[in-house]
Amino acid sequence: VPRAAIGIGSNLGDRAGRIGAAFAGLAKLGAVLARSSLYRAAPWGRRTQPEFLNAAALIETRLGPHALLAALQALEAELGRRPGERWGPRAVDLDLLTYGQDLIVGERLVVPHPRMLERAFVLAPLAEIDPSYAAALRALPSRERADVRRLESGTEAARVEAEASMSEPSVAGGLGAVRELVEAFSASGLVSLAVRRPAFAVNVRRAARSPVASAPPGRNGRASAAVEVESPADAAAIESGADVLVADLVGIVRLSRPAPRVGEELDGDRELAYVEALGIRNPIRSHGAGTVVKIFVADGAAVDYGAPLFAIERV
Amino acid sequence: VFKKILIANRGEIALRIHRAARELGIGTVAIFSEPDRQLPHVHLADERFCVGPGPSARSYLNVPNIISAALISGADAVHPGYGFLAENARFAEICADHGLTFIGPPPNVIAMMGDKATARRVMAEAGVPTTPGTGVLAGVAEAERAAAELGYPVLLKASAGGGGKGMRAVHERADLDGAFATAQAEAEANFKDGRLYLEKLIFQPRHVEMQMIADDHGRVVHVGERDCSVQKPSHQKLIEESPAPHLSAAVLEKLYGTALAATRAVGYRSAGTIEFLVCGDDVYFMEMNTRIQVEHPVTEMVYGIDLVAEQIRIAAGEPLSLPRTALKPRGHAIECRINAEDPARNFAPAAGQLGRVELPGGPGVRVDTHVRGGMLVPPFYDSLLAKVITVAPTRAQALARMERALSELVIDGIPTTRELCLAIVRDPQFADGGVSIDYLRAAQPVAR
Repeated sequence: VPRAAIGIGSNLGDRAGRIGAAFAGLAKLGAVLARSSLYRAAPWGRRTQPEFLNAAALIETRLGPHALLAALQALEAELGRRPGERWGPRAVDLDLLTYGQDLIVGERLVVPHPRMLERAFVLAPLAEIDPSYAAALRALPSRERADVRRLESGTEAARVEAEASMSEPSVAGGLGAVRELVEAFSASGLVSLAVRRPAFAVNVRRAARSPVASAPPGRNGRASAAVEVESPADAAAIESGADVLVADLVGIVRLSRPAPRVGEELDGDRELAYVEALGIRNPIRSHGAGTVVKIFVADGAAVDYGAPLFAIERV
Repeated sequence: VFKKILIANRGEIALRIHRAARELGIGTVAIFSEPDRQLPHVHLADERFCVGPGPSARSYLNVPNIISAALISGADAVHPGYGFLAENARFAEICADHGLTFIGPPPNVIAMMGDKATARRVMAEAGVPTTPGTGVLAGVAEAERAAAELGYPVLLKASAGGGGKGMRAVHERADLDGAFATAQAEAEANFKDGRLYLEKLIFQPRHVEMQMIADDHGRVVHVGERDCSVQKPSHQKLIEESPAPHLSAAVLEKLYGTALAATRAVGYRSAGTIEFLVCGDDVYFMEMNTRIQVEHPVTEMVYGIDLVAEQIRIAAGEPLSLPRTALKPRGHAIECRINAEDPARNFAPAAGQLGRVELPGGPGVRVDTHVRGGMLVPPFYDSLLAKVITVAPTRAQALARMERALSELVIDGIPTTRELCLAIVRDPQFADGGVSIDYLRAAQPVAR
């Protein structure tokens, strides 16, 4: 029977609970051979977002790779949505990492997962249940490995969860809890969120023209499609699936030399411009390869926080 | 005067500053956080810069982005409003380092008044009465001697204290031993520091504050007092008025005299407020606020001046534009703060989308607000939605006018303090005037 490795991540709500539910859901797709501990991963990506909890599982399944992928996506949807709540797609991430010894390069599925060997938060739990990945984990820079920490016990997981969750706030702590909630909301890809607690009720919606995070694809690239945008230029860029790089400082944009052009193909990471603020140059990098599909600013323009700078279509 | 002022604040006070600047013919630059894009002053300002996401630490306290916006826009001054960076001496210095005029007192005065112990010492040296008290007590025997000297009732306080922990009121000698032991244990448990000191308990005091204003040319004036005794349990003010009802000529003389002396003693410049506790004929210094106050409109309505405009002019080095003769109060003004809070749940802050909003108007009614129907109230900031101010020839008329104005006011969608304010305005005890700061805790006017 083929054996598959599944990576699990959650950064929203009761994360440990959702991962537990994911393990239970996987048991319906086949025999769960091993499940890792929970790992706490430092927020990953260019913009801050809530901390992830990660885990991994090995299952034996009679489902073929594409059927398994579809089942995982259905499980994601099931775990991520509750009646009456409009959760975004980030509640639980289920990634098909490996499927037997198969090498699949398809439009919808690539196995082994193309970026799994670069990511400590994938490799650390996987190496725990499949020692053959220990060497790959050790090969990662120590700083990246240090960003991922195993939670020693269920108790520690529960404590971490309690810290992160909105436990019933005291009246004095109510606003703090609301602030935390909305901060988490701001960093997430969610468009709207309603929460009711005895001490308060919150109903937040993302304002128009929210800058879209330019985090590397795969992690939260999909979420950007859900963000409402105001400027048609942004909308077009986002609809086409491009990453929009935004300014996070108030300053003056200086395009790098040679100046980036629309249509330019970037074969790797490149500095496109810098934002000069209070005499300091803060580089704007392309964060990898892609095609420049739009340049929103002219050299010397003043920009504020969240102002779109470049749209990059990823290869 | 200035060419352009950056307004380093949000909400009603940002709008207030914009209006003062516009009337002086000065341009304005708004800064805002992502959820505040729709605020009215952002649209009214000549230029606007988003400086960060919702949480204040990354937007309204984001000093590099704020300074950068000021420099890019060519602003020559920064008005901090209240809260956020208003009493941050370091920010005032940074403004100066970048050639920007901070509209407020000099940084050293902000720092001096910001440290409560230093402020008390400086004021005591200037002859301003402060609450009598002791240093750290060696034990219960010393407490007993000191309490006898101060006279009961006294307040035992934890040296490392705060938030009422390790604090005990002692009304007679018989209670001292027990209170000392509990306060010490509580302080030990909460702050790992059981040291205690004694202060004379000011019994059911009123909160009366003096509006001061001083220019660069040696002129210091007071613009009367405000009574802010109607406070939430957290000691945040809810209703303010000017003049303070039923104060004796002796108390007023003490307030005016000490406030003027104190303002001169610290080398103050700009608008500022000195807060006192008043108990019988005694007046005790509490603290000095080195900023424009939320409740400044009651003073403006009674004295017919524009405090924010004066602040701006003073910062530009101009002399006070107030008449040389003593300022005379005309009538009585009351302010009610309409906060996004639920009084039934111990003033738990509320956030969310507003429904219908109808603001009162008519004779003698002023509303300072940034809210509009359908607006989203973000949970990151101060819960103040609107200030309703009424002015009339007498206090009774100002109260009747307030009742009328609050009845017209509609802010749907989230709980507010409107009903509570209305209940207080209708309360016979409040109508009599001169309630103490314990009023709201004791009276519990029922909001319906």
